[in-house]
Parts: sequence; structure tokens; C-alpha cells
Amino acid sequence: MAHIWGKRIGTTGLATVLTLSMAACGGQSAGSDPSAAPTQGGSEGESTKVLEVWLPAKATDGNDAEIWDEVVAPFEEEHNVDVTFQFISWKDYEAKYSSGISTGTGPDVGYMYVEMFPTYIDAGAVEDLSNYLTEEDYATYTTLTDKYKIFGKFYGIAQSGPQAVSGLVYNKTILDSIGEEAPKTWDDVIRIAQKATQDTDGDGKIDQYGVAQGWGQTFYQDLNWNWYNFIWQAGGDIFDDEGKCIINSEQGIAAAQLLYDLKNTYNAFPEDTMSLINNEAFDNYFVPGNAALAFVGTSESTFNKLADGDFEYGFTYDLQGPNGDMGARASVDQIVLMSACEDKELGWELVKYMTGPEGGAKYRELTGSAPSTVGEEDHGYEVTKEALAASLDTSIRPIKAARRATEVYDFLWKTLQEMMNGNVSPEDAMNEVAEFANSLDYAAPAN
Amino acid sequence: MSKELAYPRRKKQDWSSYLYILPMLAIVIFFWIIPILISVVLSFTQYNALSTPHFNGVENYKALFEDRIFRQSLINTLIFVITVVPGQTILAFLTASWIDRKGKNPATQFVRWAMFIPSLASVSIVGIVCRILLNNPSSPLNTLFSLFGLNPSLLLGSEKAAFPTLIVIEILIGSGYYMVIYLAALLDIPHSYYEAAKIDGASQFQIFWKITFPLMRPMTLLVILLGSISAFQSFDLVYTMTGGGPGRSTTMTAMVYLYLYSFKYSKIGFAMAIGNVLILVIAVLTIVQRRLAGRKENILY
Repeated sequence: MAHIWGKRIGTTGLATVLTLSMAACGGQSAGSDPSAAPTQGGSEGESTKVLEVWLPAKATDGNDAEIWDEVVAPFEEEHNVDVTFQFISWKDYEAKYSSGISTGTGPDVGYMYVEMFPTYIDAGAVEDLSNYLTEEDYATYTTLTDKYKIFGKFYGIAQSGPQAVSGLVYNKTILDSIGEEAPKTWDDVIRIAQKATQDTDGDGKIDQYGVAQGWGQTFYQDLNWNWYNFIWQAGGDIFDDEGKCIINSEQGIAAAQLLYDLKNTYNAFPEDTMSLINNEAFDNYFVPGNAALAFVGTSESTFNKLADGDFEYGFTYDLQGPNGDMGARASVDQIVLMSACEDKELGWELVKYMTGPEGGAKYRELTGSAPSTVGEEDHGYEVTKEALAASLDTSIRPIKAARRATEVYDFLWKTLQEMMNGNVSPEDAMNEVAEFANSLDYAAPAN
Repeated sequence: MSKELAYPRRKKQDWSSYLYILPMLAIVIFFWIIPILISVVLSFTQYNALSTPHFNGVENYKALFEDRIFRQSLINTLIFVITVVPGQTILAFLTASWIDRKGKNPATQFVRWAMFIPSLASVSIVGIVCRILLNNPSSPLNTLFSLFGLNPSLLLGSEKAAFPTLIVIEILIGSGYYMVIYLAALLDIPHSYYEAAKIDGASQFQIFWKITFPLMRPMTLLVILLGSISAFQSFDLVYTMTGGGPGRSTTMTAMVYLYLYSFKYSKIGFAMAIGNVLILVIAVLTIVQRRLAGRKENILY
């Protein structure tokens, strides 16, 4: 009897497993139309449409909902639509977005940073805006230029002008004490780093360092300050226009060599540089006045830390590499229209409203962000406003989109850590990264 | 007695026993067995969670065993298990024995709570706090170490020290939970055993070695089994404190590697292959452990 029941249970379980497995494998084909919003609310005839927007939680005081409710109120009234927001932590943003889209429960309008785009473009989940953008739009937005394109096209509109721009911050008081001016070139950086690294109180221990830089971040985030600028200043890049990794170029090796030498040849970094994330290195060494130089994101919060310091400081976005090239990495994250949005016309109107001269400008005013439309008042941070405007066309740029970039960036970061720890030479490190990156499939999928 | 009279009684017993196990059976099937089977199916596909999975045979497994970082992550995981499990078992047992012997007083109460509280907190939070304690120059830990001329902020960046540091922290976090298990078992040992031993003139060590230790053997096997599974699956601490670094694989464990491929690189098929290899390793080790521990005197009732 028990044997018969066991068989029955086994057969039923196997059938369930196979059914669920098939369902899981069936998935959602690329570009298919899941049953996502906009949904209809209210009674028939006087229905209010609903548009769902997913954004990362950005406000430091957690009042994202308050800000956006105020921003979209006129849009909701004008279009008889209810715009609902989900604010997701940065840490979980990509995972949440991915699971939302794959299960057909994603947003109508979303937010993407450069590293996110390729996967969603290849899956047909995000709209190509070529057919939406008009001549008027190109004339309105300052960010609709070539350097903000993804794979040669626009898939979104920047939420604001460049943000968290990576710059070189220097301690003027230390530079004065060693007879140096503000650094303009790599040679200046190398010379200052060596001269500033000193035992200032004569106890036999180094207590002032050339560069406050941290290499202990657990993932690739600190490439923002520790890598992109340097390879651009050397005149190189990580990927070419086809997506092939070209980091092992002469320029890439030169950038790696500079960082390697600063730590291992000139000993200009603090002893615990490999344990600290870059922000910790900045807080522990530059902020107390114990380091001459730091490469950091030049946001308001960065400079607020220096407000109580007993030294003068300056910063630049225009550090030049060996051949005079410049480069300062900026984040230009974008608002996107998802392909699953049923009412794309309305969704597109919302994208334009959230980024344009009305809603977008209001958002930037409330959050103190840089402008991204022509003639808009600049509500950006006072300290960096002028320098940003001056370097916008010469130095500042976002990173280039590339397929499998997240995997490559993580590998690059960890290989740089090994190089900085002295286990591998700069040339070998760059060769290993290029070999790894190019072993991955970086071609666009066949349609 | 005729056969007709005997059968109905047996049938009734069978039905009720199935009903008792039904809730747990449903949970096990839907939340354990089915996901494992789905992961086996997906491990033979190329799948990024956004588009349709494509069958690619054993490519994921082939790539996995050619992957130097994966091999290192398996070695690291085994090192983690064979150091953390004995470490936390011994610490938990010794602490529980000490608390049991000293009885209830402020010192034992403090130690009991100080050791148990970390096991209540989220390991991710503990990891973040430990990172701050190690890296912040004004942290109490930094101040304490500096009295001995040591600099704890060097630990996480050092290829030699990072993994041992994680192991020590994991031992400290985990031992509180197992200490409570041991303490409950120690309190169950009848005092008459100890009194009889004292009357017979046994020393403290003899009492511990001949009475306490043998009676704790079944509990020790349970603690080792639970600790091994937990150490194999350990993720939060490594992920928050080092992310597998410094470098490509210094502290990389199989679970962290699985997470990276599943959630960060969207290579679900490859990640499922990692998961299945890990399940296999844990299953084999569990069977071996149960065989070794399968003696009658070790059975825990």
C-alpha cells in the first residue's frame, strides 16, 4: 500500500517539477510584451491611467518621494495620470530591475546608468529613442550629443548635467610648504607625490603622504576615481567602438605604470592603501591635512568634509597625461522608456517632462543638480559650477557602454589590486585583463 | 483474527501520518527540491534572466572547471569550513562549560550575552561594522591595537592576513549560537553524575573528560553538522568585508562567486552550475560525516 502511494507521490512530484521547469525555461522572449502597467484605475469612462517609475533612492535625507511628488503633480493633472514611484537602494537597484523586467513586473519609465544599458538593449527591453526625438528636443537638451550615446543611439535622456565628476583635489598648504604649484600634468603629480611624502614631526615615521588613494573597495566602484581618468589622460580607453577591449595598449600600460609607481616605486601612498576604499583614504588622510593630493568625486558632500580643515585646497578636472590628453569621468545617468510600457506616447511624454525644462528643471532646482537643457538656470554646487562649465567640452565625459562591461570592470579592479600589491607588472596586468575581456562574447546578439 | 479486521486499522494510521508530514513535505518540495531541479536545468543553458534560455550542453560546467578563480574559491571554501567549524565548536564548548561550571553571576551573564548577540544581528551589518572597526583610525579596536604597536587597518588589504581575519570574525560571530546549544545540553546532565564522581575522588579534569565530554558527543556532532553547512554557505561576511579580494581570489568563496555571476553579471546558467557543484560537494561531505558519526552512541534523541 505504502509502495503504491510512494509511486503516486513521486509521479505527481515529477510532473510538477517538469511543469515548473518548463515554465521557468520558457521565460519571456526578447522584446515580448508582458502584462505590465500602465493599468487603468477608477470607473470605466473616467479612468485615470497609471504610469510606474522606478528610480534609485538618491536623496541623502530620504525625501525622494516628496521631491518627485512635487515635480510630477502638474504632469499628472494635465494628462489625467497617476505617476507612482518606487525608490530602490543603489545596492539592490540592478538586481531588482533585472528581476522586475524578467517577470514582466518592471516599470514603464526607469533609470539606467551606462553599465546597465547593454543587457537591456540586447533584450529589447528599453526603447530606442530615434523615432521619438524631434529637432526641437535636440535643440532643447544639452546632453543629446555624441558622447552621451549608447552604441551610437539615444536610449534615454540624462536626468541632469554631469554629476560626481572625478577630479584631482590638492592641499595648497602642503604644496606651498614644498614649493610647488597646483599640479597640471602627470609629471607634476609624480614630483609632488615624492616631495610631499615626509616624516614631518621627526619621529622616524612617515606621517604625510603624496597621494591619499584607497584600493580596498570590494567591487569595481572605485574605478571611477582610480582608473578611468588616468587611462583617458594617457590617451587610451578600455573598449574601442566595436566593444573590443584595448586596455593593453601603450596608453593603458602607461596609466597602470603611473599608479604602480606612485605606490610601489615612490611609496607615496599610505601604508593601509590596500585596505581602504577611496573615500576612507580621503577621510583618513586628505581631510585631516595629511596628504597632498587625492582623486575623488567632486560632489558637495566631498567639499563639506573640508570646510573645517585648517588648510587651503584647490581642485582641477584638467590634469594632463604625457601627450596633453585630459579626461574626467562623470556620471550621466538617464531616464528611459521601457518597451513594456503599453502607452508609449504617454510614457515618452513623462520621460521628457521628468528631464525637460519643466519637471526636470524643477527636480534639478530642488536637488541642486547641474542643468541639462538650454537656457536653464544652474542650480549646481557653487564651488564646482564654474570649473565644470569650463571643462565640460575638454575633459568631462561619461564612460563608454560595452557588453559584459560589469564582468570586465570587476576583473579589471581585482587585477589592479593584484598589480598594486606588487604581484603582477603593469604590462602583464593589462594583458591579462584584455585577454579575459576579449574571451567573453562582446558582439551584439543576432536579431 | 481475520484479515478483514486487521487491514482497516493499518490504513487509518497511514493516512494520518501523511497528513502530519504534508506541510513540511510541501515546503521542502516547493522551496527546496523544485528550485534545485530548476537550477539543474538552467545550468545547461545560456541564460541572462531577460531573454529566453538557450541550451548549451555542458559548456557551463566545462568553463567552470577551466576557471582558475572558481577552483580557488572551492579551495577557499574548504579552508573556511575546516578552520571555522572546529574554531567555533571548541570556543562554544569551552565557553558553555565555563558558564555551566560558574553558574549564574554577572560575569557569566555578560559573556553569555556578549557572545550571543552577534548571532542575532544580520551578518552583513556585522561585516560592515567590523570593516569600520578595522579601518577607522579612531575606532576602539584601532586604539586598542595601537597600544601594542599594531595597525588593524592593514589586515583587509593584505593577501596573507585578509582570509585569516575573516575566519576569526566568522568564528566569533558563530560561536555564540552554538554556545547556547551546548549550554542547554550541559544543563541537562544530572548533577548526581558529578556528585558520584566527586565522592569517588575524580579530579576536575577527569570529571570533564570522563563525564561531560562523552555526554556532549551527540551534541558536538550536531554542532559540527550545522556549522559545516553554515560555513559552506557563508556569504554575507565575505561579500561585505572583501568581496572576494584583495585581488581576484584571495578570499573568494563559492557562494560569493555564485552571487557575482547570478546577480551582477547576469550569467544565470553559469551561476547555477556553480550552485550545483556546491550542492554536490556539501552532499558528499554530509554523507561522509554521517557515516563517520553513525555509531549508536552518537545518536541524538
